[in-house]
Amino acid sequence: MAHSHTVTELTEADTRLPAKFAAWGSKGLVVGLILLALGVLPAALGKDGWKHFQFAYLTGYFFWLSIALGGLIYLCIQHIMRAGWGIVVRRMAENIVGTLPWMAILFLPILIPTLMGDTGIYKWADTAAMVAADIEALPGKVPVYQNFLNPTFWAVRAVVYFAVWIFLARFFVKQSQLQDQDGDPKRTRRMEMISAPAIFLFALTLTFAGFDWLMSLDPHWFSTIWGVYLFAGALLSFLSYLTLMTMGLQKSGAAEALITKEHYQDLGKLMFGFVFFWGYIAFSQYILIWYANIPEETIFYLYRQKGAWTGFTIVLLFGHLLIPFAGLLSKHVKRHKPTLAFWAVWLLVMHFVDMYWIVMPTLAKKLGNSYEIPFSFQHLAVWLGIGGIFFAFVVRNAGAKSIVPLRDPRLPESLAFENF
Amino acid sequence: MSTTKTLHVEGLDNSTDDPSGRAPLILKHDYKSVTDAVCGVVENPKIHPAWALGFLVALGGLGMLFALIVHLIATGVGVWGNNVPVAWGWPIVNFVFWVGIGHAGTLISAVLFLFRQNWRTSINRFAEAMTIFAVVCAGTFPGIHVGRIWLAYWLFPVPNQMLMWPQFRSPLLWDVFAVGTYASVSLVFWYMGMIPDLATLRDRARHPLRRLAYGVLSMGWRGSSRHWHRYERAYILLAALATPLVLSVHTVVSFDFAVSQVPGWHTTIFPPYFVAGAIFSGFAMVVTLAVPARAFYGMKEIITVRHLENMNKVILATGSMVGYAYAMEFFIAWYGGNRYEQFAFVNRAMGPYWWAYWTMVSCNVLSPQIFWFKKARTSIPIMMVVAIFVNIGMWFERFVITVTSLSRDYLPSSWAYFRPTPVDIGMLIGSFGLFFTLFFLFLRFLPMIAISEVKLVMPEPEPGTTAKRETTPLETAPASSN
Amino acid sequence: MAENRIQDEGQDPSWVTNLKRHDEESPQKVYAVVAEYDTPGELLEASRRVRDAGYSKWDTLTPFPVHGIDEAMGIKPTILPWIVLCMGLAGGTLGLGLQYFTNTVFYPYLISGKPMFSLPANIPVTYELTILFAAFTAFFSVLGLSMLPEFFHPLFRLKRMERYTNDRFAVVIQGNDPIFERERASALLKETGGNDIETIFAPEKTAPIPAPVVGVSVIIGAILLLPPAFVARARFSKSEKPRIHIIQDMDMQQKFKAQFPSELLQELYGDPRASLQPVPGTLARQDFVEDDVWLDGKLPSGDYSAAFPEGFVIDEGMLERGQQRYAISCMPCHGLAGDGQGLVANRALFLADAIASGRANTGMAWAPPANLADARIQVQPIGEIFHTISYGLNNMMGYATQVNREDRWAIAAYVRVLQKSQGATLADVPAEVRAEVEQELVEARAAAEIVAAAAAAEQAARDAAEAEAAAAEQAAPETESND
Repeated sequence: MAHSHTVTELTEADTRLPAKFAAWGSKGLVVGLILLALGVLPAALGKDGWKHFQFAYLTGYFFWLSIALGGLIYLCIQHIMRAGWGIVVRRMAENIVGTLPWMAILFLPILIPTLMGDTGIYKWADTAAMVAADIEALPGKVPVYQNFLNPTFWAVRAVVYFAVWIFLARFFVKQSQLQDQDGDPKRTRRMEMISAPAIFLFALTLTFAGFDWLMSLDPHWFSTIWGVYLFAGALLSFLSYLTLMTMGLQKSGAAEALITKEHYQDLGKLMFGFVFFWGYIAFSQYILIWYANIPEETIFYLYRQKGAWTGFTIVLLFGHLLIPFAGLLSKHVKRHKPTLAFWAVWLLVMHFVDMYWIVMPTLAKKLGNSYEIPFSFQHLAVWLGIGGIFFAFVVRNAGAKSIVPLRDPRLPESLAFENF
Repeated sequence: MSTTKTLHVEGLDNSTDDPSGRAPLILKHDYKSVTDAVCGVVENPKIHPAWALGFLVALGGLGMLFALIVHLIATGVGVWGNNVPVAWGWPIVNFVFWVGIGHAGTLISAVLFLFRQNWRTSINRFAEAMTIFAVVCAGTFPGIHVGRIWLAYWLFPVPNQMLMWPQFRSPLLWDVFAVGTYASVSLVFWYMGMIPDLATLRDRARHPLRRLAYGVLSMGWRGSSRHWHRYERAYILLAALATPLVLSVHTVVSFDFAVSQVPGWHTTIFPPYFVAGAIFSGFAMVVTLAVPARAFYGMKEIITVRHLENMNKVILATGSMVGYAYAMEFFIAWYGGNRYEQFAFVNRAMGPYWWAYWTMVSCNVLSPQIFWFKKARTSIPIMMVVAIFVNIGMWFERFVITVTSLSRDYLPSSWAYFRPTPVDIGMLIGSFGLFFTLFFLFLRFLPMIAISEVKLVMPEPEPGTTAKRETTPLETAPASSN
Repeated sequence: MAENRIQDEGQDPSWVTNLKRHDEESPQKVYAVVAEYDTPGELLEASRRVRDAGYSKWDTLTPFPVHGIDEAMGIKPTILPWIVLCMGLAGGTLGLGLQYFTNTVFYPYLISGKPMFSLPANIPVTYELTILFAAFTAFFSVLGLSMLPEFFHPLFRLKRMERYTNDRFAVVIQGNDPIFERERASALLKETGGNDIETIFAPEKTAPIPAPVVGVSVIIGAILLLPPAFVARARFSKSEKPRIHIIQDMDMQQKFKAQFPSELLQELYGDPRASLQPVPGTLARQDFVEDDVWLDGKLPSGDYSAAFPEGFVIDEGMLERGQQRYAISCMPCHGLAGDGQGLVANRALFLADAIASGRANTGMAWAPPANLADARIQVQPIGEIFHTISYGLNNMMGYATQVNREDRWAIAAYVRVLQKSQGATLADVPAEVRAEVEQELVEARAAAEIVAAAAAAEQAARDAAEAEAAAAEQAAPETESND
């Protein structure tokens, strides 16, 4: 087998984070804080401003959290598959996953009001009212409010989720970083071993977090595939974000020779695969609910197929599935940085549309303007605001570390990687 | 990859976890010896008594299946235990069971190919053959379940004198298209992968009839690089097409159940859950078949411990996914507060079919958990036992889904207990006869390992190290004329 | 393993021997020069040299696809993916079209309220057909683009061919290459380290296809033509025979049929009728009512009752029920207003009229249904109306079997309402709604005038257009003659 490029010895300069990239991080923080402030501002002014902010925050927060969580499962899968190709982009993935402790803090604006019984986002936070409302028509649901969907247990679960995620994130980030120093191949082995149970913990926590934070927006609606749906979206948006971050890194002058179009092609392939997977899961959920037409389930889609929401749903169908599917089909698109970047941005926007489509109908119902999209500039400001802060965390995590896992035993394989 | 260190392996155990390099996938073989080993099985003129015995037993099962089908057609579906409300009894259970098993082949060929899992090359031919035979078994059951079997062509959109057309809004018709497409595309995929190996057999053949048969089957393949170029593109495309296809087939099978409003059937996780279950049972079947075959035919250096260990890992992963789905169904039944749904699940675990449910859980979810231990993953007896447990468990899964939900539905006055008749049981056994008859024939007449693909994952010989060039035996070979 | 291989060389069939003899005895031309290489690396190196030497008609033979050979040989990317893409799209379109046309145009059939065509339900089949077409195209494109199957090829005369599908690699420089010279090509291959350089010859004329192959092909072809021939015959002929049913037991089920005597029942009960009669002298429990008026509308004396049965309460709900039942069972003939102008009556009268005036030759003689507001019926006691509803009169059949007794009384009560409404004046309307009704009347008259005016205007316009057309027709021959 002939290789068109030979492996070069890595120099110190090759692995240092460029100052330009670090500077972007602080800019991101400033812009993020300003945007977030703009998003909060109307909350103090009008009576609906606060509601808008609450829902915008939930949307934006879950968007960025799902990117970090997508990164966590990506790391687990990379390790458990003993993948060689992706070692050069793994450090950036670790930086993204490393934001999880910070994301726990950013969860407080949702956690604290709900824990105090605020029904602004989750109407089940008032257990007594829910029990009273359902005891006649749906007595089977009463124990659910009493034992599961109540603020206290909900908060306890949130703490457990974050504890699991932070533990796993710190484990993978730390082991990888320590390996840079001692080059011990046992650390690779240890990460492989932990990633198997980690996937199980991750699957359960992501599923229940999805139930707790998004599905329970309508406490009567349920879908068993919900966790898988969120997993597909999370991994897809993470891959897009990772691609953009890696390109940003190269744009700021680092890793020019390390990360090649071969690696981008693989990232693109995964994006393509998960576009399809997301579509598969979304279609499965849709057709089963649509076909059986049971009122308690259909309500979710019925609402989203009426009035202004119709267009929104169609945007999701085309924008999240059909158009990127066609767009990412070609090998050349995936190997060409500008086109791949375009689709990465596109998919991130679509992930936001997806989150918006899940969350905002609840706000619309709350505001009483049925079937109208309750759009406000706050929504974008909060989303991008959290994004700025998220980006700053990513850059901060990159810090003084090498930009690739320097002494990973499979690094040479990754450097020489070629698609066939 | 030349940049990756190939680990040195002692003996036949290449299941090392050393991350500093990659363990070799094929042990102690060079190009020629791989060809000899695989083709030798087909070219051996002697029929091994063990093979003959197995084949005769399988043939007996097949005969019983045919006899029972004739009995069924002549008498009517009353010979089965199907009743009202359990109108979908064993035939559907068997259908879903076999279709599920038929998933591993295409998964190994296509999905693992796209994921660059090189270890697939030793087992893909095997698994693809298994897929096709399993789909043949699966297709038998809905075929004979339609009652008036001579009108089975009504399933297809054929212009007819009644000016009637099939009803495309029904998931059962989607099934016809999904399983039909799957069977034919799998067959094409299998055959196309086999063409280069058939050419090898043709060129090695000494007997003119043999040469004629393999010559026709290999369609004049010469190993031209210009052909290989198109062949490889087409193979990648087929893999890329077969991957969503394999997802869609069991998804559509799950739609048969899940689009209805029967409690216990209608739940949104069914599609991915069925697909995971199908892969699970398919891999278990590959292990069940591969372990004896590699021992019997001396393929331990080609289907190595590493291959088996990887399959066991897949079994563990998919088994746990299935467990996740069971748990989600239970949780959401409780969470949703719907009393019918809650009843359906309590009834599953504690109702008259509790024994089936707990057989399913212990075989599917609990038994693979032993694969957390490397010792178990690499132990031949343990993996055989677990694989057979999984096969049993997955049959029971389909039984539990089909029968428990139907036997106690919305109308308590029509609740009934389903009992299989001897014909039901005979047909299940007979379908194994059909499967193994085809499988034994495959082992005897076709290359059971993808010779040309295995060579791809073997390290390239250094110039000058190949076996001494010998010309004598070739002189005796007659010129091929076909 | 090798020692187990079949040693029996057998005899070639005579037609194969003949082919070989033809190949060997006819005049030969150089087909190619072949050299053998031991490893993929050597082959790649040699391929680059041959490519750079400017050969275009040459090939390499390998037992497996060698990584990097495309670049080394300068093979251009194949168009195969594009063919597959096109056929995939065609398959999807076909799938969608098939479902649309069969389920909404050719055979629209409503099943459990589902829409005839609804995209979500039609996606699975569309998707499967896309894949089916694309996959088969991929396979057949490999064969087609590679000109396979090709059972006779000069390379098959090569003795070393066995190694090239096993463990060795070869470069083949073809004789029909524009710059081919046997010695130069051999020298080049020698230089690149090729072993066992051999020249292969091909007969200048290919042998005729052997008779057994032709015979078998003709027979298979003829057999394959049979099904389409039968289909074509069936398509263009008529048959009164039912389609073939192997086992008839679903068509010919054992069952009791109405109006057909059954031997089994005759044997069991001495009565062959499928619908068993009640035991003589018995009555179903709810059927026993001791009230002649309620049952038949007649007094015990045999006269029609002038009053509703005792206990039959006439209120708004009962009249509404009567109105609704009337609309179902009576309105088609007697009309919504009870004036005998129902749809069925009108249609029948139209047909009868058409026969009378010779415009049609099918139809029927028709006794028009009664106007319920006729003086004749106005004076009938309520019992008689009930009796007529129950047992029918003249053309009208009895409705006792279709409408239950209570509903028949409700209809009778509603008939009284209709009778009253037909001769009603404004004075009959309650005072408090009289103004409203008057207003409605005015509006209705105004609307009628507008409609009449519009119709007149339309008629005028049509007349004008006709006149113009007539004028144009007259003018037309003139313009023609001017030509």
